[in-house]
Amino acid sequence: MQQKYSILVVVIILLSSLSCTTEACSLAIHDWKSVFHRKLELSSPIFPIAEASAAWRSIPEGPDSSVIWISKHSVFSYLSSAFVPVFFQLMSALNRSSHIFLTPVNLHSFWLDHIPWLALSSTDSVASLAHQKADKSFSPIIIGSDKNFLRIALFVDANSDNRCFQLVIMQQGRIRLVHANPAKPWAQELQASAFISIIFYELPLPERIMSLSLYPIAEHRAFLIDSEPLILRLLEGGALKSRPPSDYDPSSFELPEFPE
Amino acid sequence: MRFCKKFVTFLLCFFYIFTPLTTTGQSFSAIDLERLLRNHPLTKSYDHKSGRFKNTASEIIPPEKLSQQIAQLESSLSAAQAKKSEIIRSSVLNDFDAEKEEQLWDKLKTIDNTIEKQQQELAQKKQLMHTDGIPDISTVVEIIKGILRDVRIDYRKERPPNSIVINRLPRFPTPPPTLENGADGLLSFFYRGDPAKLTTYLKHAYAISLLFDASSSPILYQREGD
Repeated sequence: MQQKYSILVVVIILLSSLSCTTEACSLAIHDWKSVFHRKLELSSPIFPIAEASAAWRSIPEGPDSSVIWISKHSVFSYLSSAFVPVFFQLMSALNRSSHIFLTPVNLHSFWLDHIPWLALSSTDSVASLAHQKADKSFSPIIIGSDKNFLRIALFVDANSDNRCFQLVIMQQGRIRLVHANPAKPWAQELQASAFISIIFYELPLPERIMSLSLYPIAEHRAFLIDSEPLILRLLEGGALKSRPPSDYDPSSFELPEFPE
Repeated sequence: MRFCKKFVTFLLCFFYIFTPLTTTGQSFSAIDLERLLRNHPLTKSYDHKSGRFKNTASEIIPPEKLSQQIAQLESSLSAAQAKKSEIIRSSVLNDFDAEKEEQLWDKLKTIDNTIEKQQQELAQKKQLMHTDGIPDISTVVEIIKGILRDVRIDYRKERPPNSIVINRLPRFPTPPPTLENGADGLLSFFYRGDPAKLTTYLKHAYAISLLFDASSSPILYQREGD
């Protein structure tokens, strides 16, 4: 347990050293052009980040026992499900840190950081399993993931003389979730997506990463790295096209359009 | 030789007169902007008294009526949420039929869509209560933008491709404004390039504005790609 927390502290310090308090990438105007795109079918999501966010939004009070995650699990998804609480402990800790801009949402009562996730390769559907669990004294949240895809895309910024890149790794799929709580039952189906985006200059080396963001953390895009000094240096040198201060555009944080 | 010279002159005159007409004639088209605007259904719902469009988000709602609408929406939202809970209780927790599972998810999706719409509407109405039922002027601007967008789509259907669109000319002939001391119009500034001409012209702006007031249909110039 002590070892787990020491790793957590090291990761927080590492990310704190890389992060800034503002969304620095709004300083530049990018003109993203697609360079590479692949769409792969997945048996299950690699990490259930979209599932966790959907469950947290739909059932803010959380389950009283656990989250049961049904899918055609792979080794990755089995392993990743064990790290869900640790991952959200890290996110909560980062959000509390005054040096890091993560999400405007208060993660104080974030049940995702202590409720265990049980990955289950069941032939039963989400609703069927919820029916079986309904007469028990505890009421878990049951989440099913299917029709999953992984998209990997690389974009280049035409405004930077094709030297600034954005790598996006996106998971998409269908989520069905049921909270088998007789007093306050809940069921919902939704199309969900989760992504990690890395914007870097020339090479994806730590000192050249302009931003690293994750979506969704409590329904928001969280910037783990947002290197304002690097962006300012590139803007001053004319390597990036600067955005006039009056031309602030909230959509500058949106992902470029993926090719079909 | 003399006949040949005459023939060449004739040909030159012919092309000089007719060629510009045939080339420029294809690149212009006329529209009736006033008719297109008048025919739009939203223009018909414009209320001159309030300056808002009836039955749209821009319409002013008296606070008493707004309170009633909020109460109705809250009640309807609670009913939809209760119905959803009841469906989950009866079709998932208490009893479950695997063959009807897809129908169940479809039913839940329909209720979720209704709940989402009602929640959005309720949030808008509650926001409106803070301004005594008077929606922000931006709601009117959005509707006008929508009308103009529709009108553009309509006139693009009527015009040949790659053409410059000119609105129908003013319905009534408008006399040019009379300028004091025999001052010239703006045209002379463009021809002569004398800044003093422009200064004189601007001094008579009041008279020139009358010209535009009298023109019911302004000329619209559309550049390709706009």
